[in-house]
Formats: sequence, structure tokens, C-alpha cells
Amino acid sequence: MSNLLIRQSERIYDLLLSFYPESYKHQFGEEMKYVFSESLKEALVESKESGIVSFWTRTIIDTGKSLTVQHIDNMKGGGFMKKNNDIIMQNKVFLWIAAGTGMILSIPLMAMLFKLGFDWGIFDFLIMGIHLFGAGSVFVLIARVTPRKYRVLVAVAVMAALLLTWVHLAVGIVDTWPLAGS
Amino acid sequence: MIVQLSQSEFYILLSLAIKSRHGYEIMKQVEQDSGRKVILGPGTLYGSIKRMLQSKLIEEIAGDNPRRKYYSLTEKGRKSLSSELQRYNDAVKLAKQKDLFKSLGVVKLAI
Repeated sequence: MSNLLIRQSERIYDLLLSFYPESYKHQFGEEMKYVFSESLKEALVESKESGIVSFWTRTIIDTGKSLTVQHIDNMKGGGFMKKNNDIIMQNKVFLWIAAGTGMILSIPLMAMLFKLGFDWGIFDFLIMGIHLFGAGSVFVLIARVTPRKYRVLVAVAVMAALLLTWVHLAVGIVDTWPLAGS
Repeated sequence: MIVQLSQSEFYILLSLAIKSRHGYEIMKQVEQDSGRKVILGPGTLYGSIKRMLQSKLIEEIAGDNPRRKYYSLTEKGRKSLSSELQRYNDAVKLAKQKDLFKSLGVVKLAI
């Protein structure tokens, strides 16, 4: 039971670590995992399974505070470590996704202005915007934790999911799925 | 220049005053030195370590276990810790001179 708890907790903490800025994770990730793991084992020895709840409560508060501080520091460019040139690993990639979403949405908007057969309401723009920005963000978040060589595969999978959802919402591919052809 | 220390930074420097340590050792020493009043999680611990490396209060060195990262005080860190301890010492002396512990009714030092 304890071993299972430790393994599962370590997996969850690994996942939490993936939300840290890349340079910080690269510098301290392994050490943080070790400290977490040792503290967890100690909490289990001291207070058995019941200690896990208070240990995790402390860990979540600690990680939440630390994630916020490190991301703010990273945005300010205060990291002393080597700057990451990979756009996927930088937070400004989300600004680019938002800009791209805006540019794509400007196509139907222009088509409406020039009366080229588009008749979208605000709801259509909103849904499409959420889809595009969501797909871009999901791609970035998955790509950050996936080896570089699989990025194309991730992009194809996300694009396929986006197209499938969009087509389903437009014409309803499967009647039993929600919002078919809405 | 002497750097103003936060509570966790003070305890981390204190833990490194005697010998160099790796992260988990620092965490345990801080817990012990503070009488379990300061418990650092990995996020706070390495956030402080990062800031202190930036301020050159501590440095990374090779240690007994090659798989771990060890940290030790720099000259600047030593001076900052010494100055902070001196400040506390002066404050305690003054409080004793003025009998403040008695008049304030302080029975237990809380952090």
C-alpha cells in the first residue's frame, strides 16, 4: 500500500514539475523530485497513510506559490540560466497563439464585411476562437512534455481533433455526440 | 554589499554555516534549527536556492554523492549571515537591557 502511494505521489509530483519553466526544471527538477520523495517517505514513516493528506496539502500550497513566483520571474527574464530559444518552451508562445487565432478569425470577419457568403454570429466566432486558441495551447502543453521528435505527430493529432470537433459542430458527424450540427 | 535576507534564506545560510549540504540535508537542518517552525517544501527551498545563487550568497560545489548538488556559503554569504546574526544579537542585548522580554510579557519566541 505504502509503495503504491509513494509511486502514485511521485507520478503526480512529476506532472506538477512539468508546469515549471523549462530552464528552472532543467536546473532543479531532479533535486526537487528527490527532496519530495524523501520527505514523502519520512511523512509516511512518521504518520502512516494519514500523514499523506497533510503532506500533500503542504506540497500543493508550496508548489502553487513556487510555480507563480518562477513563472513571473521567467516572464521578467530574471532567470540566470541560459535563455531557452525554443519558442514552444517560452510563455510568449501563448501570445502568438492568440495573435494567430485573431488572424484566422479575421478571415470570416472580412468575408462577412465583403458579403462573401459568410453569416457568422458572435457565438460562432467565440466557439471558433476557443477552439483555435485551445488547440494551440493543448499542442504547446503536450509538446513541452514530449520529446522534440514527436512534435509533428502531436501537431497532427491536435489538428485532427480540432477538425473533427469543428466538422461535428458544423454538420454533426455522430448523432449521439452532444451539440451535433449545432 | 550586504544582502537583506528573507526568513528562509537566513535559515538556509545558517544551515550551510558549518558545512556544505545538498537540498534535502538543508531542508532537514532548517527544520531542526528552527524547532520545526520553518518547514520548507521543495518549491520554496529551490526557489530560495535559485535566488541565493543569483545573489552569489551560495555556490554549487561537488560533494560526497555525485548524484546530488551540494551548496556552500560564499564569502558574501558568510558576511551576510554574520551581519544578520549580529543584528539579532544587538536586538536581543537591547531587549535584555531594557527588560523588554519581561515588560512585553514574551514567554516564547515565535517566528
